[in-house]
Amino acid sequence: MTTRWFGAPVQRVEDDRLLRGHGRFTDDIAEGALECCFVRSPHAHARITSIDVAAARELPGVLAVYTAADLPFGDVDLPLLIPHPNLTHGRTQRCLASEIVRYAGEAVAFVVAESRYVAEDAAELVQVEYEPLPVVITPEVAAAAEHLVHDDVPGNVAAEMAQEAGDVEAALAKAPRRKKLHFRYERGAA
Amino acid sequence: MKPPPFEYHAPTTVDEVCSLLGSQEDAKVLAGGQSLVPLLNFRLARPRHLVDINRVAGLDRIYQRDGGIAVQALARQAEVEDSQLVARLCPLLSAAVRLVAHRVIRNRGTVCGSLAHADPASELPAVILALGGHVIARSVRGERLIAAEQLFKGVFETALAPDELLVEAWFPELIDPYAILEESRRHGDFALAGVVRAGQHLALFGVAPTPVIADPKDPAAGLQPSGDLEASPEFRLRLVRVLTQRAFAA
Amino acid sequence: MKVNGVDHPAPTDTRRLLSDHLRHDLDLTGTHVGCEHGVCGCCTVLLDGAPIRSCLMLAVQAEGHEVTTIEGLARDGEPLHPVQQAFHECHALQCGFCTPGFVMSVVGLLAQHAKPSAQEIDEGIAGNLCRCTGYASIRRAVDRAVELKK
Repeated sequence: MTTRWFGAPVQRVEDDRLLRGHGRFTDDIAEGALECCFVRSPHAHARITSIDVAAARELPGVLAVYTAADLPFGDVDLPLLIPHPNLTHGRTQRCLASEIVRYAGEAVAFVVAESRYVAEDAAELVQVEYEPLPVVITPEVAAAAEHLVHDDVPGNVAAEMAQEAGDVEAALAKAPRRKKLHFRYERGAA
Repeated sequence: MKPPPFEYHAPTTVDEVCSLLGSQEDAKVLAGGQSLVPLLNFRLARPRHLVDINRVAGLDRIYQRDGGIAVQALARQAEVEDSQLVARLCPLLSAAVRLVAHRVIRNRGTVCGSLAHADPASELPAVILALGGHVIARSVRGERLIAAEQLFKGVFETALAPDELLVEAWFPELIDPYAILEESRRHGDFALAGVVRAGQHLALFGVAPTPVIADPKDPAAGLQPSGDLEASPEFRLRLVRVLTQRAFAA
Repeated sequence: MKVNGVDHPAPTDTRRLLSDHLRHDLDLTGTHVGCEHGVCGCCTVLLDGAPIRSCLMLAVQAEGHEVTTIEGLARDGEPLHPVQQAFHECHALQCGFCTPGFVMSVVGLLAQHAKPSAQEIDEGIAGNLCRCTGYASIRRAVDRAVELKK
């Protein structure tokens, strides 16, 4: 086996054009591309009672405004791509919400325009009426299950999983010192 | 994120600026833009008129007068940072301006703009307060002097009227002792809390809706700082005590 | 306004950001857009030789000024600018998205401090974010650029 590449510094071949500003990142590709803007729910949990896109559609420079009602797949939940064996009640969202929003930021309408400037102007003209619902945003509140995020997910439990290694009780009993700490982690991916 | 529509004006004299501010409803001054343009891009600010003062000549001086340093409206923070005059006569101001964001921001941002913007977590309002300086505001109605302790009213709120342009900020000379200390998560971030010592005077920033004068012997007295993701109220109070102690240790 | 030494007509849309004007109206896509509120540094260009955030400037404000973008540092066919060369030698780029902003900021830093100390380097690059490299190689590139400029 040759050792030509091992243990020796290797210079990259792609640097020149990246350093000169000749990269081709997605937004660098013009070629007549349009730009979009999403209208998103400000509520963490709410029923959508109406969506009015008429004014947005009228704005010069706007090519289309889509809601779930305009899409053939508008009432289809997105697929669960990698179902975990412990997932008993996997739930996904729809590409555009139509009846219910379940997180602040969930997309409700999709604006396509000649420029991002116009797309944002149009997004502001979309009128969405919401009926706020009780918010369930921490694991503790979810576990208490006073309110359900999905009507068909009992107790708000999507999956149950416990992992154990060794004899925990014995190890704790033998330890010279014991410390209890409470950690809160944000979601890393959704 | 793009600015909402506005009408753009680029006057070339102070009189024109004041005339525009006086006649157009809902007008905002654009100087360095380092605070205003982000607000425009987020659409948190939606002024109907934008009065760009960058074309006004003769408004960028840094000079000595009346035992202090005068910094005009278009003097960039970087120019104040590099000024030998400021370093000699008011090194506190030199030190403070180095803590404002990053050099790239300071190349455009202005000292007067920072004072007019009045972010409670920013350094320069606390500096002018600790030094006991003043600003000069101009409008079609004339010029007036606003002392630092009258200038800051609340979060992003000053005593400036909507039709007034902050033309000059004045900082008294102070050789020593001085100190400016702040705690932030990363260099250049907004301060979680900060203290400014000017002689025996103390001003705090980041712990109240405006910069506040405090007693060096009991700096946290009466403070009710907010808590947020970055720092709890207790942590801010602790920072005030520790930083004050360090500022007055020398 | 002059961009990379070439005169261009004034932009007509007064709310167009300089970053968008450079990228979409002048086809100079080397300047990148990351945050549009001045904190990431991707959009950094030189205005009359000093680094500024092009996302925090209206294009019309650049009228009468000279703008230098990454494309203006070294012309096609010309060798790389010492800062660009240093970034290459020190493996200070991976995906390359933050790189033009870093290069312009470092050009500005070295104009301010010809031989910056470690602290001056850290403070000088602190306004630019990189998701790929972890910054150590970028720090080294600044020192290497100082050497190459001698």
